[in-house]
Amino acid sequence: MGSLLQVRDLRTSFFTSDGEVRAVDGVTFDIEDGETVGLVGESGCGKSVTALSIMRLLPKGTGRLVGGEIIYRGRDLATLSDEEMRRIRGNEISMIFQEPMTSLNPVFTIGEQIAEAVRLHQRVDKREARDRAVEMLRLVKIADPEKRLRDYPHQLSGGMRQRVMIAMALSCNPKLLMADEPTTALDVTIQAQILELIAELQAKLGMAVLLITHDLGVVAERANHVAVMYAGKIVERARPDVIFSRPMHPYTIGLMNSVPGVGGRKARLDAIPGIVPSPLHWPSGCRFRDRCGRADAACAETQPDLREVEPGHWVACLKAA
Amino acid sequence: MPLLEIRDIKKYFPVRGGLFTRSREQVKAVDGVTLSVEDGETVGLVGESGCGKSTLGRCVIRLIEPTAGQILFEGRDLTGLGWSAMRDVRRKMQIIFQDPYASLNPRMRVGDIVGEGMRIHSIARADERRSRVMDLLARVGLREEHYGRYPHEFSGGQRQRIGIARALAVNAKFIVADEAVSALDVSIQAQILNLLLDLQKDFGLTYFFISHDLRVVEHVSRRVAVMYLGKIVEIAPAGKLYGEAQHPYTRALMSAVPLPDPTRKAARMVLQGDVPSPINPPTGCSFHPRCPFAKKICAEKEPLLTYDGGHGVACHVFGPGRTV
Repeated sequence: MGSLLQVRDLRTSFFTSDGEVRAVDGVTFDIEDGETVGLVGESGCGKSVTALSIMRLLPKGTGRLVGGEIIYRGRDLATLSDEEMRRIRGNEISMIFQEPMTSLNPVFTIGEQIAEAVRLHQRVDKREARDRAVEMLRLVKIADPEKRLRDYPHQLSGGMRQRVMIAMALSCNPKLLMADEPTTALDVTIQAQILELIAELQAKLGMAVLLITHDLGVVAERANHVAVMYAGKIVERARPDVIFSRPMHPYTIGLMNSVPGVGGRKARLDAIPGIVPSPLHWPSGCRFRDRCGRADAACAETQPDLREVEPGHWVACLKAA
Repeated sequence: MPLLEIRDIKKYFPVRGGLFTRSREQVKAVDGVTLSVEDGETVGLVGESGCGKSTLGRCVIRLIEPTAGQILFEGRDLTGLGWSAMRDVRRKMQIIFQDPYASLNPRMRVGDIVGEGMRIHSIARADERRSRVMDLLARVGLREEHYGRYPHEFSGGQRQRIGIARALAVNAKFIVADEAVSALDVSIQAQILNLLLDLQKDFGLTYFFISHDLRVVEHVSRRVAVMYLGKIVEIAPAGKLYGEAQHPYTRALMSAVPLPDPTRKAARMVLQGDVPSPINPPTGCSFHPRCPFAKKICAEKEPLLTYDGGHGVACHVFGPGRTV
């Protein structure tokens, strides 16, 4: 039984006037049916570009898949034509974004927008599409859906807009939902509502979720598998109970030490020194070595690959035991 | 004597009606806040978008004029002060903003940005200024060669360091940090938080630390105030608030924070609905429509912030002011 999605050595570059930006540089992971994979990392680590590459939504002209395979239910998405890819998007794989306001069209009602998404992908008439829109709004727990259909995006709060985006993304029963920082723009109490909603819908509809976030807390609670990205690569991968109790990559450890804990601890944070290197000029060898306390000469020469240090726990570090 | 004391501060913004209608409605962004900050301590202020925390932060240093109330800084009432007297006080009260991209003049060099306050307040002579600015840049973790560069050449974390150096340049005592680390990645956020704590120790600074991030606020603050719809609903020493929160809103806020600990399976209190409009806030306790414990009185009468020692709670159902 194969995985729902197998990403193999994915490489995506942007070709700018300054040169080639290797935003995603050899990323490999799987997503099984119905599970949640959390992809964590800081700005510019390539986590969003990974999702856009899988969706084949890279900006035309500058961004390009330069290597690797994206096997979705036995087919390599990287080789599909634009027309074939359009049938995958929405029907099979959907995506929601951080900023629901910019993803919704301000001049159409939300009812029109959900119905449009339905009609683009399914052979239904206007009436059925509208009924489906009402059904979807009810599914994402928007009160009084018949009335809300006539609202424009600006009349809704941030949390409501994200619900509408989820309704639209799920309107064609996708098998995989890519959620790119879906709650980052929301307040914490609203974030809790939306994460709860995604988990409920996942259980009800049986879809898998790729949850992209910078928040370690969010993946700790929601993911079945966690992958930590740094400088275009996955540096560590494991189940959350493993990675949070025994992180092994110095970057993962540094990231965890950077988060102030609730309840108690008052000391200085163990911050990671320095800043992320420029993707135009990744350092040789391990890309984290400039900021790493354990780095030595070997780290400058060899680029570490992911190794399985214990069953199910993969680490890309020469020093990890 | 506290360094800063604010008494019943209010800030109402008029809401523009149509073209010919006069404005009748008001947004009560800050609606009666009383608070004191001791010399050398950090008081944290948490709350969600629109609760009035940034407006309050700007009111205490009179960047915006409060509608009513008193602000006492070093025992002196600032609300009646004229322009030049206020300018003198403002030297001691500085603010660091959330967006390090918007708060630095893109046409000025870093050295001039940091030195400008010294010039305005005649703190150092022109020839001394340069070396003082250099010292400050080093102190906040920047290098000498950064002196002549422009803001766009820096990362977000470095720009925040520039903003901090600017606040220190005029020998500020009291700094309002308004979401000062919220736009930064966690690893950079940790660096800046450490810097703020080090500077506090070295210069004896007092912080009014405003953030939506409870983990960050707890980490830096001695006392924490929780704001909801323009009012403080709870205030307590940081450890106490996190361990023994009383107000249902504070408890919901705490339980909503996702922790990097997959073994935690604490019962989460998920609030229903959104924050109501501050134009027509609910009657009585403004949290009652979302509160799972609301009683009849909560819709009728506004609960007052009632203290037991250093722990204040504004609730009819929980805490020292309990009436039902």
